[in-house]
Amino acid sequence: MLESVPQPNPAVRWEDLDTGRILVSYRRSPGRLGAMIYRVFAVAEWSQVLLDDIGSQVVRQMDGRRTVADLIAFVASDLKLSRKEAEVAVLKYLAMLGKRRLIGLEVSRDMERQP
Amino acid sequence: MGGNSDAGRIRVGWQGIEVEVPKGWELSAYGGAAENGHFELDDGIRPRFRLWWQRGRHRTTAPQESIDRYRRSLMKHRGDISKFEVLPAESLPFRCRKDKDTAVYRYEGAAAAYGAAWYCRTCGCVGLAEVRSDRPPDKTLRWVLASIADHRDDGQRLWAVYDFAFLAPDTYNLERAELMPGRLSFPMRRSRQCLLTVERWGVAREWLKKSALEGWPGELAKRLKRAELGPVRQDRFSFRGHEAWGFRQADSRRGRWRPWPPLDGMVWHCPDDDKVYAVFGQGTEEELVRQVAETIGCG
Repeated sequence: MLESVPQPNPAVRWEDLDTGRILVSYRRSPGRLGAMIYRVFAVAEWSQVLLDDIGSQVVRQMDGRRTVADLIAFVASDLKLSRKEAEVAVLKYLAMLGKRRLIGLEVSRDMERQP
Repeated sequence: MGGNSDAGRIRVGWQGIEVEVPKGWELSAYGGAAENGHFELDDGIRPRFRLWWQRGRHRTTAPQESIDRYRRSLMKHRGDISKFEVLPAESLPFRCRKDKDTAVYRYEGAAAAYGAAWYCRTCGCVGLAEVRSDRPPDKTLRWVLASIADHRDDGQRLWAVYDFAFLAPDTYNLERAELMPGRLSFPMRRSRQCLLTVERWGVAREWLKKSALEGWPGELAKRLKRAELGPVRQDRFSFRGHEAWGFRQADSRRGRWRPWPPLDGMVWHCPDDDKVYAVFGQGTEEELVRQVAETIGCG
């Protein structure tokens, strides 16, 4: 997990705002029944999430090379947190982004082979 | 007073147990209370240190028996242990065996470990601790076992985790630690009416955007459900050159037969490490809040 590389989903729009925050816009994928309900109740097709300052900084670090462990080290040094505090916060944050399919985790072949 | 003791080593303190470990090993699991419990440290990848303790009533005080019981449980639950041997107690330095019955062991398997069990004749604590390492067991890590202390002589307990350390009287027992990213809270109780809480808030710049430090005493009083009991008197002062606020509320009988104990506390912001520290007590001894605050290292 710690050696995997988080990648922002290219199908998602990541917009840098003047405030330094990132506005994330993504298309909902509701399924057939959900699509019908969305149509009936006129629910917007796109959803938006406004990341806070710290969350935006973490996303900016995801350059396709930095691993989860690198992000933890970045957060620990930038926010002056202990390694464990940063680890818990970053893993929770990545889980939230992953649940919304805003990011994916790239696992190298070498890591797959490890027991 | 701080958790750091030596370059490359840190001191961890939990429920009256203190141990020196390599930098980077941090608390990853804990359970129990001062009477008996356990905690575990990891290095970010795998567990490196485990310790169980029991004070007061115990099944046995013989370390050899503790090791035998542990070995049986290990063999039952883990099939990968290839070699388990008991070593002479002399393999640990004399200073850590003083006033203690000690036995040492090591085993090899998927993870190898050095461990020790002891009975302290001074405080009556029975404990078992082990340091895990890659194969073969790393002898240099014996100093971790040698650094374990299960009591202090000054009537205090060291609490030191996640680069946060303070001393509190051993008459105060931890109720439930809240160790969340950005906020560490240690509420400790001596009796029903006597509560001491020590907190550290990380990423202070973000918290202070929501409420200036001046507003924190009021917020804390609200959290303790004391805001409606009467005015909280607060005054600004300088603590180690940092902005600090002391606050106090007299005891109150409002709405209850039994009086609410007086509230006393202080909160300060250390910009160097971007943290806000708070120490507050209800019904605590005079000056205790200040004494505990003095033991917290910041900056």
